[in-house]
Amino acid sequence: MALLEYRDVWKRYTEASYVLRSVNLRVEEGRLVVISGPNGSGKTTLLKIGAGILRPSRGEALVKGVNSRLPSAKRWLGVVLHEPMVYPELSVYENLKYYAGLRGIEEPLAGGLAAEAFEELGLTRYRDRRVEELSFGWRRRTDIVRALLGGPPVILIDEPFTGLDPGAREGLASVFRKHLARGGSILATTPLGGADIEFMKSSGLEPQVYRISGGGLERVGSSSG
Amino acid sequence: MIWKDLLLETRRISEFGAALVFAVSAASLIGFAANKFAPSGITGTLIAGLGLVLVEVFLAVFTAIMGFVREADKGTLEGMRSSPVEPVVVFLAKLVFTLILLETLVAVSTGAAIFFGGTALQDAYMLFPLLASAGIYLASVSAFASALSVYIEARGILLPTLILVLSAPLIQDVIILVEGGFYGHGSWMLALSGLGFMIVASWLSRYILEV
Repeated sequence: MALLEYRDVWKRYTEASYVLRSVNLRVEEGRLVVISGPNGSGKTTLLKIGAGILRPSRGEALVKGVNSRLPSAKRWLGVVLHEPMVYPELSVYENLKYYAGLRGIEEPLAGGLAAEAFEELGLTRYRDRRVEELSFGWRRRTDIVRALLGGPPVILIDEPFTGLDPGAREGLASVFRKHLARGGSILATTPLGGADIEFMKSSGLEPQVYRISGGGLERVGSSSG
Repeated sequence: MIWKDLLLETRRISEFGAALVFAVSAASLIGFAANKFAPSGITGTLIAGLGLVLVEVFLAVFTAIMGFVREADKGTLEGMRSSPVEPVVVFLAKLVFTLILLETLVAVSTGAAIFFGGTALQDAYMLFPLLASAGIYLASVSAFASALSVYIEARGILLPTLILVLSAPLIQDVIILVEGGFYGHGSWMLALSGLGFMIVASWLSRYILEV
């Protein structure tokens, strides 16, 4: 079953040209799909449309069959973009508490994948530190935990391993494995020619890789078919 | 969301402080001018009313920058928009925050005007319904303009222009009220028009907060 599906998605920002052209993609349960492409190729645009924060010019993105722009669909999504969506003036815990509140969760770290990721990514010691006092890598980790609040079945993540040290990369790969083993799915992007895909393969994540070019997607292979 | 915004404001002292310094300085000068040129009768109160509403209009630009515009600049607006919350709830939360901020600044600045106004502002109690009503209207204008200009590159020009245009009916109403010496139910009508604008802006927010 496809948890996330793009149906004939087109997107243009200006009249001149389309960033995405007739994109069709299904992200099945328990699968990691990776979109690889150069800067400006439309990777983040594709992710934002799936996250329901950008309206496609044509077509639609569905989460469990529901249009991703609807709040009911957003409950099933965890979104991490390149820039962390956390408030620098709040502490790590205050940020998580706030975003948990938006999902109707009282205690952000009471259990589930977010609590596990909080431990795996080593955030425990920074729990009460303001985000503005942390480096980009730690902000990024906070943002990843934020996206996992409430255990959404679909994770959309822009360049997941950017800004993370080797320990955190291993920790995130472990979080991804758990998520996929529980039937969740992940749509990630990576820059063209990066080492992320090799790392994912070596971490047992079995990514399905697509290359984005000229606004369209082209399957370039996967470790398991 | 409102709690978060208020907490953030206490930790971003410089921005709120700048608005506060402007409001108190402007109101003190208004009070001083009223005391100097109309020390007795209702004229001083009328002049101060006009001046304080103009201060409020300027503060609405401040609060617009502190609203959705800042969320967009910090990248946190995407966090709200990717959460399972209706756009109208996001908009109303920001509007209430703006209202709290604006009314706080107005209360402090009115206090400063009364302090420096002396006998000229002995009828200052008449100002409170006017300023509170204008605050409701301007908070709606401020949140609306802030949301509307989030994704527009020419925001620097558009935001104050939008607030000026949308505030024009309010300024006109206030002039009529002042000319009538604050008698009648003008302030209530102003509050009602503010609520009306709030409802329209909230309804439109579902379209505004999408790209």
